Amino acid sequence: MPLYHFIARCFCFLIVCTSFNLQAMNPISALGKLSDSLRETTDGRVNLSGYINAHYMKHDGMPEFLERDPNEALIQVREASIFADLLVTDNLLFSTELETSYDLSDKNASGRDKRLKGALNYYYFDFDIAAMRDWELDGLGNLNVRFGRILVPFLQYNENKPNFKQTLMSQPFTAWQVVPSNNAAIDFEQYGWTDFGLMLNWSREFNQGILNLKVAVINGLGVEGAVLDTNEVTLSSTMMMAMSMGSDMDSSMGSSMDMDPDMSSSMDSSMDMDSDMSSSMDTSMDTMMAVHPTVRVRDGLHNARSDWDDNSDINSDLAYSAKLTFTPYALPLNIGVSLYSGAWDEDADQNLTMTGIHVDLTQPRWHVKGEIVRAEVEQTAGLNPVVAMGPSGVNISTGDYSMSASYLEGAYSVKKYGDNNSQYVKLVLRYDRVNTNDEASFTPFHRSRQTFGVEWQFVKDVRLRAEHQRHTLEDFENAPGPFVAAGGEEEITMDMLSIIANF
Amino acid sequence: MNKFNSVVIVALVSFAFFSVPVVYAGAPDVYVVYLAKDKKLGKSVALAIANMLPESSRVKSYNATILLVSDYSGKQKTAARLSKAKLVVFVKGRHSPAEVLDSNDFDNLVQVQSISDEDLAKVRENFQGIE
Repeated sequence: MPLYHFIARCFCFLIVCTSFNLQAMNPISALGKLSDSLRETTDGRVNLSGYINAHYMKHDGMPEFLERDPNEALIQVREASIFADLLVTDNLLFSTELETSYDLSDKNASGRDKRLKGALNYYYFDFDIAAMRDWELDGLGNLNVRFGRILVPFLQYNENKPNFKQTLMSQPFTAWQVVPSNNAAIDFEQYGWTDFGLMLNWSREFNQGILNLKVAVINGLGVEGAVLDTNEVTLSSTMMMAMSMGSDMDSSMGSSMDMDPDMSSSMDSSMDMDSDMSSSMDTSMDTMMAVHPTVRVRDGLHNARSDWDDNSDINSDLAYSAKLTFTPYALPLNIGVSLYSGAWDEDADQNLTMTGIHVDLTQPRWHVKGEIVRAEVEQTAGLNPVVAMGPSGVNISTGDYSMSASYLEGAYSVKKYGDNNSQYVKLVLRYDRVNTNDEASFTPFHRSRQTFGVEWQFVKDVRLRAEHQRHTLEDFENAPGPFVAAGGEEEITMDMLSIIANF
Repeated sequence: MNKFNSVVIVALVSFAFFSVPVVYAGAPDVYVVYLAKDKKLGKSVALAIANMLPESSRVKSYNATILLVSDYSGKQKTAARLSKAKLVVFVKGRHSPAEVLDSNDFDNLVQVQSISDEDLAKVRENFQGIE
């Protein structure tokens, strides 16, 4: 075991041990007091809060990549975030979130180029129009206008993404593959789908409950190029590829994971060869070579999200997002619908439309919640000509296609204790599904998943979580040879231990 | 975002500020905070306090149930705004705003349960103490 790996594990162990002793040390409470003190010093103008979490995560059954092995354990301080709300005037507020992450894992596990990363997740001005004009919630309603890089109002998870607001550390597929709220834990970019634009947030109280409407005008999701989901990885396995005498690759041997199943079976034979063989090798006269196939992962919309510091638009068209929520007084319910629409390509010819429904039923001891989302993608059909080695030129697209995801989660506190019942043990179950596929061929992101979790809040605002997941890939009999040869299995398991604290 | 879209955004923001008769109210003197199930009580407390304090005092009520539809930093934003009032009054009826807001976020907090003379006197004393 490398020394730094050993140190990383010791550090993680230390975090856990320290957390158990938090009752005595209570650093979270100290941070809260520091925040209170800052607020008092600034006459309430500067308000800070935040959270931190660290996790140990281990997958089994994932295909191995050339650059890293996703089955190796990940140890990370995944998020250490501070929310800052600065009152510029009584009715104008500047809000931002500084989010950092530190990776303690072997680089072969995480693939991260830097151990420490940071982002200003959002930064915007918020005008409280209702307070300025003395509107009442049951009169004209509450109206806020936000301008800057805002959290996109779409479904419930994105606006409640910090894990101290959730009961599981892992994210549902709705917020991972379709709504680009979270990247895989492996690659820290930023947690939360934010975009540059303007949002109106209007709420009104009726006799039966509160109606809330958020409408945002934003730059929108988009990519350069002809296909929307461009993410790709290079598998550790090798395959034979036919090469012409020049540099062109025979298009019938395209290396995309979207390849025709018949095509993939013809490649299986090449998997028997030495897996260390990464350099080119002639196997026939002069036209065959062994390569590590680079494949388009079809993992949804991550790549279409702009970076936190990039507020430019991919095209000249605006995108629109809206969320309508109703909270009835008769039931502990929050139910809503969301809509997103915008062109994703540079010429603004191809549209992406997303629709979603969320439901939260919350009681002090239990909750049931879920989301359903569907994305309709306009895309030009056709097989792109392969002009160079590698997959960038390989794209089998069937034209317009749709993606969908859903989850249902239930949790129950089996034990509550301590002052004001602030300590508890909670059991959590979640079932979710995703399909990013156009059904033309196999993709690993057509799968279902069960998650079993236990959350233990042993000190106020500090929680330990243990999670076990079992993923089942659909249509696995059509998985391409290179995917299987790289270690990809029909069932993937994941175990995670995490600690989360907020102040 | 092209030039036209920028113009639309600027126009929208400008409209919000300049096209309607402007109040530009600052923070009220007293914020009366309640939850939806205690709306009637909350409103009557706000009215009683408004009648009790000098006419120049601004009393505003806030239904904290709206936090159910806010995003994850909504609670902090609400606390920051409410605390700008000279006095924050939590109305504890069937439920208490303390269920969704942290009482420790307010230095100027008074809790009442009714519009009894005792509760109103408590509000008046605290208000006069601050003024």
